[in-house]
Amino acid sequence: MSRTSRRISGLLAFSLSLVSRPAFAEAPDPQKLLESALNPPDVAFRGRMMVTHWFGKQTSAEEVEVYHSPPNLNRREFLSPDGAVQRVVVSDGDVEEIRLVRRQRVVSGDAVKSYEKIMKPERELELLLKNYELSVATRTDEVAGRQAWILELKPKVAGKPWQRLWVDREHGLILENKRFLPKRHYAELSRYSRVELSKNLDPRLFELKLASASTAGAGSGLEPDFMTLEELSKATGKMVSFPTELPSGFSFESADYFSVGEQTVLHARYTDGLAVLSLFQTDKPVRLPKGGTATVAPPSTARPSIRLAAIGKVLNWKRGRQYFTLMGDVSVELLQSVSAQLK
Amino acid sequence: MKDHNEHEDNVLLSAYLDGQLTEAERARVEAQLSGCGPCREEVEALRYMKAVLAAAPRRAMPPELLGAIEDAVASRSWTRLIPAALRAPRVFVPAGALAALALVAGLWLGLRRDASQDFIPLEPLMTAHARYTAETLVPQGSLVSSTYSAQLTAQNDEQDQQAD
Repeated sequence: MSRTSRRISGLLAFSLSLVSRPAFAEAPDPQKLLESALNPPDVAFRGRMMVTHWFGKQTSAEEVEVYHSPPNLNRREFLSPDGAVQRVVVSDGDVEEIRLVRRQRVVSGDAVKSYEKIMKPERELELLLKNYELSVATRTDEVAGRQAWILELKPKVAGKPWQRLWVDREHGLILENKRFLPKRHYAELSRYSRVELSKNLDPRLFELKLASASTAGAGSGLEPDFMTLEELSKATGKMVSFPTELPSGFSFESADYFSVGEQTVLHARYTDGLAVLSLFQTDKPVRLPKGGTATVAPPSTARPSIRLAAIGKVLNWKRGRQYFTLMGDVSVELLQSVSAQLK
Repeated sequence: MKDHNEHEDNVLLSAYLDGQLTEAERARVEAQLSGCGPCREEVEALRYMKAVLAAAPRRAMPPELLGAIEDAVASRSWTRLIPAALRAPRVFVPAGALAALALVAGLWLGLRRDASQDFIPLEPLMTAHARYTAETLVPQGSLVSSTYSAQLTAQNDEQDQQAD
């Protein structure tokens, strides 16, 4: 073989090796990639993750030690900067416990996704595909030493957060999750810095301290019920006038109610397949900062009396004798346009 | 602007609401308010208190009390002639001021407590919203778990503070 031929074949072999490398593999269909990420990972692992919330000029971050054992055992240890465990969330798929370490208190409720919602998953996926453009980056990215596809969910309406998911190529594990409003000071990010696949996680990690799920405090919101509007009206004896559709692609999913002191709070939940809006109805006004618009601060930066989580924005108004509070992690403009339709 | 962990004091915020600040002070306070939720809440509480006080019914002073005060003021002219050492200890003056301050503070706290009973706190609603967000089709994992467990911690802290 001539030197030139050797060079060409060498170049060809190098090119082929590049093509066969994961970073240049053909990107999967976005919907199939999303579906692969919808179920919990099929492999046990332990990992360290950083969760960061940006809200306006405020930022909070915390590290989380995550343990997962299929199908539904999860343990998350939220750490303070010095590595001490602040709170632990343990779930067996049916019951979820939140252990507030400093307070030496355990609050128990229903595990996430332990009940069927009113809206069927097919309908929610349909809404998601109607309201968002899905795409997969042609290149993979590396997160915590693992190759991931980047799935982007871009809203078709301005004012809703974008979401990018870094999905593990092998096991569908979401290695990184970023929600953000473009050109706004709002974003949330969770990202693994370490992932160790493990076949033998100590089962004691997932043991629940409380036997029953009946210990959630009043108003804790940890036992979300999924009721139709008729069921809500019947259960509370209150006149319910929540619409079934809201502007910008939000549809009623389910309702619930809970007590705060002697007050009953009615909670209607709306989804566009990804973002969530909560509409609350009360007999008394909900205390908000001036102007009726609350820009809610991350948990670690405000004074103890109003340490609120970065869940988005809040508007409230009065109609008749009832007070309404609308909440969601969308832009103020979008929240206002939705509330205008409700007033 | 101050760091968001520092907060303006109530005297400055009160003067801000009364329009008694210089332009520079006002600009400083407004800059602080734009970036500080706790300060905005404090201003709102002060504004509420002022509104309540302004709306409170005013009663005429009883003639006997008015006469007693006028007598006391008039008597100050001859107290100057008494040597300082023979007069009441100075501690009585700050004690009186403290009593007046305690009265105002008590009134303020009372008003705030009454006001809080007329409102539903925002925190339980936020916890319910954050917890429900975990139920979305697309898994949010630690992102949402971080939020609602932190929110629940804050809610418990708040309840414990109120209980104390």
